[in-house]
Amino acid sequence: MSDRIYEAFLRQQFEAGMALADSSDVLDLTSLPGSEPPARYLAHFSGRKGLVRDPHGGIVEFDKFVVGICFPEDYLRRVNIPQIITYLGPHPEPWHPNIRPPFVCAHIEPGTSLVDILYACFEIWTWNLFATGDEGLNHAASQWSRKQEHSRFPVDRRPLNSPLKKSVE
Amino acid sequence: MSPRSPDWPSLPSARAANRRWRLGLPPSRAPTAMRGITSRMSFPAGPTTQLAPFANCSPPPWTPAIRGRRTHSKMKPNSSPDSRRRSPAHGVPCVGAHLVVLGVGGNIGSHLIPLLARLPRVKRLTLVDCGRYEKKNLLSQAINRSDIGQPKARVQARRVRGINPRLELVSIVDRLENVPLGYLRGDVILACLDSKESRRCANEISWRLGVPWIDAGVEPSLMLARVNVYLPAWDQPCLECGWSERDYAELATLHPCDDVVAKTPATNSPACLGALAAALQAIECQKLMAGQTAGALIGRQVLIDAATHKHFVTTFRRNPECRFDHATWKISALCQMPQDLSIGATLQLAHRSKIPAALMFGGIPLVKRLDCPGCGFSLRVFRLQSRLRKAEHFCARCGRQMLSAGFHIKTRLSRADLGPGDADRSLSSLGLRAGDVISLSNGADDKFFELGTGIPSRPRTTKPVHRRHS
Repeated sequence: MSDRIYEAFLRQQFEAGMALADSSDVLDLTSLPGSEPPARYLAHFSGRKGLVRDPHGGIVEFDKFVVGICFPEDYLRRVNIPQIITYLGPHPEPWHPNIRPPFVCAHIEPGTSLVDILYACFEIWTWNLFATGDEGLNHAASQWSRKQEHSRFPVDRRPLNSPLKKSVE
Repeated sequence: MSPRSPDWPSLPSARAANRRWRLGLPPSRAPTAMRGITSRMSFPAGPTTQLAPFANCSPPPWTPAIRGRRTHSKMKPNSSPDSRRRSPAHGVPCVGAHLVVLGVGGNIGSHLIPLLARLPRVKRLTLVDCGRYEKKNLLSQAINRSDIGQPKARVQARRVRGINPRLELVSIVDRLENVPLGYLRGDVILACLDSKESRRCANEISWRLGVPWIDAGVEPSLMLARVNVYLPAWDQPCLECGWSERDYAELATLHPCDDVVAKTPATNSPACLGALAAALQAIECQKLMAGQTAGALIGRQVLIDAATHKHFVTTFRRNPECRFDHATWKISALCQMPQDLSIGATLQLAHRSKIPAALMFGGIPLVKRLDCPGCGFSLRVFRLQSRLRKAEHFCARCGRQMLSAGFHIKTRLSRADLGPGDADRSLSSLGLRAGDVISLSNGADDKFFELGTGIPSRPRTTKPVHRRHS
């Protein structure tokens, strides 16, 4: 790898991402091999509730969520959001206007940090963040969310950072 | 590996054609497809001995300014005529220049083309534009009513033929990022583009190939016309050196929830302003071709305020924190067509060169699975992202654009990533074409190869690709 700016960015993201994972009992962040510093991560969220659709069509709470995050070599210069965040399960039918496996629609600009992406994923999963404009990715979930009382959202108000662990600056 | 290695046989006819070419002789009676770029496509044939001046040029010395131009590789038995010419960036007059014009049909491009056709040192023009003329273009672009509905690149090629029938012409109707880099390897690249993303792409192409590029733009509300000249080198400013975070944020972003793809808004600039920018661009191009690098606008911008009759010259500096790596590729020619070369053989080539094998495709990711964000339909593919077939672009069930997720693409392909039978796939089955650049990497060192360059082939007009893009 000869791009020093990109390499420095990746190193910074690795350090900040791991620091966030250390400070949280919800997030488990794993860097995947392939490049050094790592450009691909698996983020396991557990212990915070989101919504999924069960096999009978009911909307129920579920507390596990895994996303893959990739930083392509031109990530600092252009962004193709489907290639940055990938929904990896474990539930096959997450229920959110901005999630349709394997896609998660979040606001990302060139150079958006790993920590910001992790927070965005977490807020989407817990329904702190949802956008139903243009019906989003999951039209049925968009329509469903408009019929719900506002007080129902977010589904889980607890933060990503655990108050018992050291906070990240 | 020896240049005469039986693994990479050279074609005798290709060598003969190149030898005749260098000597200024007309091509032999070989099939047209084997005659190299001296053939004229569908345009009236001019004397093929026009290329004789190339023979008078000695090979350029190795300088950073011309890194990335075709190098003499051990794997390439016959040197290309292009490698025997002086680069305008080198400060030496360039005889028989090859100009590449990106965005030929627009407000600036349609005025630039006739000017370039009349320049004395130009021998070859490559015109790239994916668009077609519409009725609204009549007011701002130099076209006729009969041109409406036709591909812009072909309309402009026809105009050039009317002005200077001796010019060699290649018109490419495709998006810039889909065009093989080898087709864009000229002496000067002139960009008349209308979006930031296209300019970013042109900047990257210019740096990768080591070819100077001239960018032009207009701002109709303030009656401004500007021209920038960039000379690819490590210490030279590029387009992105002047960009801030906001500029990057303004680039078009592909969201999976976007069903309707945003189109670049038209500038609606008056034709006279486009003509002014085009004239400035042609003047700078002439200077570069004449080797007047001191007087040229390298690393600078000239902006003309037509409203107040003022002009401003701004000098740019290399931004040490520029997000673009400013790397110029040292591209060697590979005397193999993509259909004749399998993935396994390419990786084996790296093995023989003692490079641990990882194959890359010039920054284009390889897609292994496509998903429809509308209905969830998924499709297994094994093809480069920008070279997907029409049937793979859109969902067979709902017609929405298929997308690839980050964990279903590969930017580096090693033997471990290959499934059964994948090693026998040809590079053309991935969507690679002659002129495309591939690289073999060991993580620290990359070696770049241009496919099919040792074999003279007839320049082709690529077929139009009708797709929805962001």
